[in-house]
Amino acid sequence: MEVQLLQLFNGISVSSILLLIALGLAITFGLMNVINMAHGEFIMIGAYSTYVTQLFFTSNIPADYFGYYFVLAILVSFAVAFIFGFVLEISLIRFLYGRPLDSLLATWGVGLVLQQLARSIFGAPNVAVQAPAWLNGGLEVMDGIILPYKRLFIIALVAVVLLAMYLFIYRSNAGRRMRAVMQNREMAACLGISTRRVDSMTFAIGSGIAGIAGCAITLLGSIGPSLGTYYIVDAFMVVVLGGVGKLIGSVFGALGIGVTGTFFEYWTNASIGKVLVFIVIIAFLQWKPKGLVTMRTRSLD
Amino acid sequence: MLSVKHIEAGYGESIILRDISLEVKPGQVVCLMGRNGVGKTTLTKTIMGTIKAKSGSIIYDEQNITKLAPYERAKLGIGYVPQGREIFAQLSVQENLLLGLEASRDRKNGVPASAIDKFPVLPSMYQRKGGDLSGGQQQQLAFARALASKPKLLLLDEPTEGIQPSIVYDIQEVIRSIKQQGDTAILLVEQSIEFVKSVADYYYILEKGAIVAEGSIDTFDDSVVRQHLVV
Repeated sequence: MEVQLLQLFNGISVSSILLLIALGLAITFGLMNVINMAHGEFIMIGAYSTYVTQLFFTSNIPADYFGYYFVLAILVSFAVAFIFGFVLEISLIRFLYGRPLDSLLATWGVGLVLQQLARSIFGAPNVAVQAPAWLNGGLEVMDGIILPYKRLFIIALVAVVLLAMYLFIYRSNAGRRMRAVMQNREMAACLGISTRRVDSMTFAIGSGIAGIAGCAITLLGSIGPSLGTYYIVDAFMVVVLGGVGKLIGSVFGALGIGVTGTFFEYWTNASIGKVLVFIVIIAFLQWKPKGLVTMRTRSLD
Repeated sequence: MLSVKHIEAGYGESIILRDISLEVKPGQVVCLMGRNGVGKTTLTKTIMGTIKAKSGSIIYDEQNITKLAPYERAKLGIGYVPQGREIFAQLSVQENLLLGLEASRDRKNGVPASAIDKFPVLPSMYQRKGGDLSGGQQQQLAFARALASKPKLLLLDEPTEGIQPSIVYDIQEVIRSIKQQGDTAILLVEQSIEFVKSVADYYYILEKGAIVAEGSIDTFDDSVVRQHLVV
């Protein structure tokens, strides 16, 4: 019983990480239909931003305040990845809308450039980010079951990011403009919306959220220039399985992959578990090619 | 108000409109008529800016807008009800209306009552998705959305096409009431000769991408109809 519960918690924890890395992609790929292979590198940028923030704190700020650096690091990661995303959109992506194959290749190239950039600045070996003291240890819920604070923190962080994204996309004026442009670009322009500005802001926000994911990932282990490549496939899998274009789809997608993956791995072993997850996903997409959550409406003619 | 001078426009290499000039004066209702495929929609799109004019100029409010993007034209006060309505299907009716405010200067007060009052059926459907509405309801929503920004010039591209008669009547009444208020000029693409006769001040008839007849509405008689409009 305890083992099952612990597996469930692990599954939810894995789901939360999957969801965090996929949320940014849910915007750039889900809403904007840009196949952004450099998404993983934005995660990497967020991770290194956290690393730099930590270095800054250790050398400039009294040690007493070190514990707070992580909160600032989340914002810094978002900001840095946001700026990178913004620049990438106005310099490259905007020429590639509606050309999925070209954007796939071009963003992959950008990803390689960014990896090399990180290698040149920070060196090829992995670096470790020291988690703040208040995230060490865990919560003992019952005998033999300890839930690490880091994992709980990531789950909470995902919840906060998800809520913020929901409020932004579905409740704010900017979000309404965004959805209007993604659904009907031409008509949105005719109503007085600058589609160019909406495009670059949307892409930048998606990239910024990838940055937050990178920040969270520093809690799980050391980081390196090719960090993003480990996560890019998972991120696409979550968005495609969840259903393109709906935020809630990504939530179900991440939960599905995270929880089933954890249990498969527990029942078999790590590699067979992964294979089983892939098989289930492929079978599911044969049955429902549009993913878990699809948009239904009376068809427009 | 609006003056189009020697416009040439089309899609890619093919040219649809050749040397078109027309004028809409403040408060006027100007009707654009013609058989199918002569370039009426292309002309409204060129005025709105979603199609770029290859040559010629478009002057609006004494300002040359030929090179402006559609959103800039909308902000200058041009409202647009496109053919096919172009409602945002995944957005609620209320959100669709609020998007109409994007071109407006004062957004704080919400969608003006003057836009909604004309379509009493809309408030009861605020939470429904735009795509779930029937064609006629969508048309009314598109109309109200265009009115939300209190435009000085309205481009209406066949607002009564493919809609049940009672709603056609409602929409015609709305156009009449806008004309009566007198502060919005209208360029109306319309097929119904009867309605044009009753509401327009001036008419243009397009044929093969060129204007072949024009005049004030009292010169619009059966011989014109027979020559240019009867199929």
